[in-house]
Amino acid sequence: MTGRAKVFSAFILILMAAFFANLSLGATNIAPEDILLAFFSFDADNYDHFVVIYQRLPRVLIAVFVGSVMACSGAVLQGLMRNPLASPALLGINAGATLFVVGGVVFFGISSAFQGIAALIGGICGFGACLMVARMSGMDGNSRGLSLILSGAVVSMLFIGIANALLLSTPELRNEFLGWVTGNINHVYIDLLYQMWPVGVGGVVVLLILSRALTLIALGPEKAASAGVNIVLVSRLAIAAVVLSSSAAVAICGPIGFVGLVVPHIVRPLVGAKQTMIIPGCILVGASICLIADMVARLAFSPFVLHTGVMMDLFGGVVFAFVVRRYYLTPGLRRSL
Amino acid sequence: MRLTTGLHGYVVLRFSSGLEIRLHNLICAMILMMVAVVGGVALLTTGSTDSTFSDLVGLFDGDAVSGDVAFAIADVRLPRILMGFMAGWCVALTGAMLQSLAQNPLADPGLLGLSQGSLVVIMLVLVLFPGLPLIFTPLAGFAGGLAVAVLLMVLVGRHHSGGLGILLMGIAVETTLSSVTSILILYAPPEQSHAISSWLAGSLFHSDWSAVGSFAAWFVISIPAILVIGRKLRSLDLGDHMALALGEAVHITKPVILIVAVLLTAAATAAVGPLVFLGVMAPHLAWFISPAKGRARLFLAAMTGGFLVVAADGLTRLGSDQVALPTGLAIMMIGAPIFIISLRLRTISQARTG
Amino acid sequence: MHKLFLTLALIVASGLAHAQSHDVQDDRGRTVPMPDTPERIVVLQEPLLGIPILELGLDIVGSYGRNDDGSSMLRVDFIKTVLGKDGADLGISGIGPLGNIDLEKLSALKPDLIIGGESDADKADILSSVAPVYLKNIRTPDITGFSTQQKLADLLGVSDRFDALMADYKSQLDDVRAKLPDPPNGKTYLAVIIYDQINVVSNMSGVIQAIEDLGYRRADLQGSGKASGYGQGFAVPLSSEQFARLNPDILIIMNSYVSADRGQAAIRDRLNAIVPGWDRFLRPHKEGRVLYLDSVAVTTPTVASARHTLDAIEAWATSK
Repeated sequence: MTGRAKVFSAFILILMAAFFANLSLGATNIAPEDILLAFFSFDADNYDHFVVIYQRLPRVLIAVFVGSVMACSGAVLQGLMRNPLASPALLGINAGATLFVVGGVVFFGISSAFQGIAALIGGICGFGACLMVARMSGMDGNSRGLSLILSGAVVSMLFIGIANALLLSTPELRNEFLGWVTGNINHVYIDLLYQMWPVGVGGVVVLLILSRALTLIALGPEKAASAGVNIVLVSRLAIAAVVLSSSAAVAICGPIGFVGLVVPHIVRPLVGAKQTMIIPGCILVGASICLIADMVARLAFSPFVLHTGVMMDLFGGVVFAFVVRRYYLTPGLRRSL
Repeated sequence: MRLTTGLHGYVVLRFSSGLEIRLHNLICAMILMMVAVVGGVALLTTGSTDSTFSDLVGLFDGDAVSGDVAFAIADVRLPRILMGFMAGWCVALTGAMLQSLAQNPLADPGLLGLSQGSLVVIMLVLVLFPGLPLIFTPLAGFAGGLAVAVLLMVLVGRHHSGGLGILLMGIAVETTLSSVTSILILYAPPEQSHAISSWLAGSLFHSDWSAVGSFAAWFVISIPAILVIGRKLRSLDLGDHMALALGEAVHITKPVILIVAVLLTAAATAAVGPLVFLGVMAPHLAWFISPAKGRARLFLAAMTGGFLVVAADGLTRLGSDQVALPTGLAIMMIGAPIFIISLRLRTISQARTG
Repeated sequence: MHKLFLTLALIVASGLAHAQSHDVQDDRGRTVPMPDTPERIVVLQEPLLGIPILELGLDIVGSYGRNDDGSSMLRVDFIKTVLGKDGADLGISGIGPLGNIDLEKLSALKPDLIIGGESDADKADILSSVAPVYLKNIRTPDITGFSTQQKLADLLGVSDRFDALMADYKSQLDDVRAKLPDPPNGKTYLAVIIYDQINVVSNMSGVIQAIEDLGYRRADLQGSGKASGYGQGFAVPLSSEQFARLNPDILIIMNSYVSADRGQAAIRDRLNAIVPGWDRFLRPHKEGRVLYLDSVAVTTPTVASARHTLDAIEAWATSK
């Protein structure tokens, strides 16, 4: 078996292990045999089977969806912007989607059926705002990527601040949305998954199709152009796919950041620099990490139950610091600052 | 003191001691001050109790004014306006200093995690030690802000204490601290959670005369800070190497400026909560009004910040019937459109002259 | 300028001097110059302080969370649901939107006493420039059942009215107990309220007081707390997986009081989303031992809420 095939097999095994662990651990531990029975010979009078299929499985599906979508988005953004810090959370996409959902509910009272659309529009606006701020603060001289990160951070802070202020003005809705706004993977939101999964899966499929072109673009614009790649079209399509699919993920369970930042860094050293390998790797590893993070958030801090999003931010900040240190603050790179 | 043309072609006011003030800056500063005073006085007469300008005059003359109006003007509105101005002044000043320090127009105390640091420590103290007298909260704020500043300097390393390194590390620290805040909000009992959130959005509620008095001490400190630091910033703005060549002890000055920034931010955060984005907006708006360097720039930025907060508070008090408009949101609503317009105009003018 | 200060001093002094008052210590250890006969009370927490005081027959002039015309700012109106009265008719006014107390409106009401909970401690200093502020513990672990209402009655000098309420309550208690299908001794109960997850209601409200006074004992939740989450005060989270395994002798289910619809159908819908299949597995449901209650009516720490609970139990018992 070639090295890469071994790596991918390991990814698949880890994903399956995480999948089963998530279905098995919880308020009560259910044995793997029972899980298999629940899938293949479902007994409607067995409460454990019900728990597995109707409570844990939806949550696992949401976690897998969000993890893989965010990880792929992060990988593509990091490749396109040639910046190791790019991720949907840091470019204003998550914050924009969150703000528009909260705004829609507070001002227009939209039902959850329209939350998805609000999130999609919000993600586009959030990203747009980030681009606008970066362009207008006129920071050239640095790679465009870094100025985008900073603008994205500012825009995110702004949008999340406004979302919180809006929630404050309606105490009733605040109670309902406080959990969602902190990134809550919960089987209660499964209806939104049924509604939004085509957008996410479609986005990832588009990225897979474009992965070869994206690899060429990462080698440099001249090389890509000489290979016949329409850089502008491919970049725009890829970014559109990224923005829409991450917004769909946010619509379901609130903003979950840092999967998009962390997972590409884990996958890249293991599978090489080609997007054709990285994107599938991110799908697998992103799903696994999200599943593991969800388990840890729910069970490791007993009796506290943390929400996955907020826990990932807690650890994600630390990871972010490491990435910055490694990529920007080693002596050799001093001059690039 | 005479009016003459300086070396760089601008009209300046030159004093016999050698101090030079660009006339444009001076005029803009005076206009800003007048607008702030007029605006402040106008806002003294707005609010849910009906009052007129003659009531205001009457109060100061000692004539009989109805108890309600006197209470409204002297005990509610005046301290709020003063506190708002001073808090906006300090936050904008910090933003301008940090933007010079980081050589980046997007630097802001919130972006660096300084105000989050103050916040988290204040909240932890309030939640874990609720019996502690309120005099300790500013101290907790300082401790938190200083801890974050020290952490940033340690993480970034001595040789990079400026530029993007500090900003990026700041984002990392800010993200982690925000999640701690979110956890506290999720698990605090409902009213405390609501109180924490509304404080997070910025609130001038706690502005009584004693609070104004204690904050005034910090405001007074900021004046010599402007004078001294403004001068240093002129050399620092040229870049680390030029500054060193000009004899500026960069590795001492930068941390000192950072610490002053932390102190001012912590004081403002403890008094009114974090005023998100003001530190970015106000210096830019001030630049748009009058491009300046050094002390004039700091002064203009601070005035703009103070004025923005006073205007935002006016908006909050005017719209107060149905919906609570947190001060932070009001600042955003007033400042963001102006900010965007000014950035656009600046880009256009730069494109023309560039 | 000294004329300004003179004016201010006179205003302040006249405000404080006109009523007879005595000093008391509130629950946070502050010394409060309480008026001997408070006539213009403002409350900062309507369900936990305003309703008990209103039920005791006292007037309040202002309540945080009401509009100026007396209607409620929230979708729910505690005064209407619990006491059957109208805020506008009672002359209750507002002091600003939630999250932004308007000091000018507060002072225009000319209160002589402001009562708040322990979480209002940070506002106490500012508010005391308008009127004395008394802070009462309302959510600390030592608060159970009617203790808030009783202590408020003692504080405001109307203990006899509280005793009268208790007498009526006790007679209804005996009434309802006689109508129960089985004697409650040794039987267990559990009360849950549904937010975005299921929470177990602890002992701080009228509903719990009523059911325990009837004789039921709280069901043991030992071992089912895992993966449930931390909570304090009113409601403790319960994992949705554990919900269907509950089996107390009587199970009370309520919808969160911020839901517009708190009726039985809405409760069942929410349960379907949170615990799919609950109606197959929840034994109390299958055996008719579930009571659906309106959380707004029954969760305030007052005798009125307890009596609403007793009414509902009586209706359930007679339908069996």
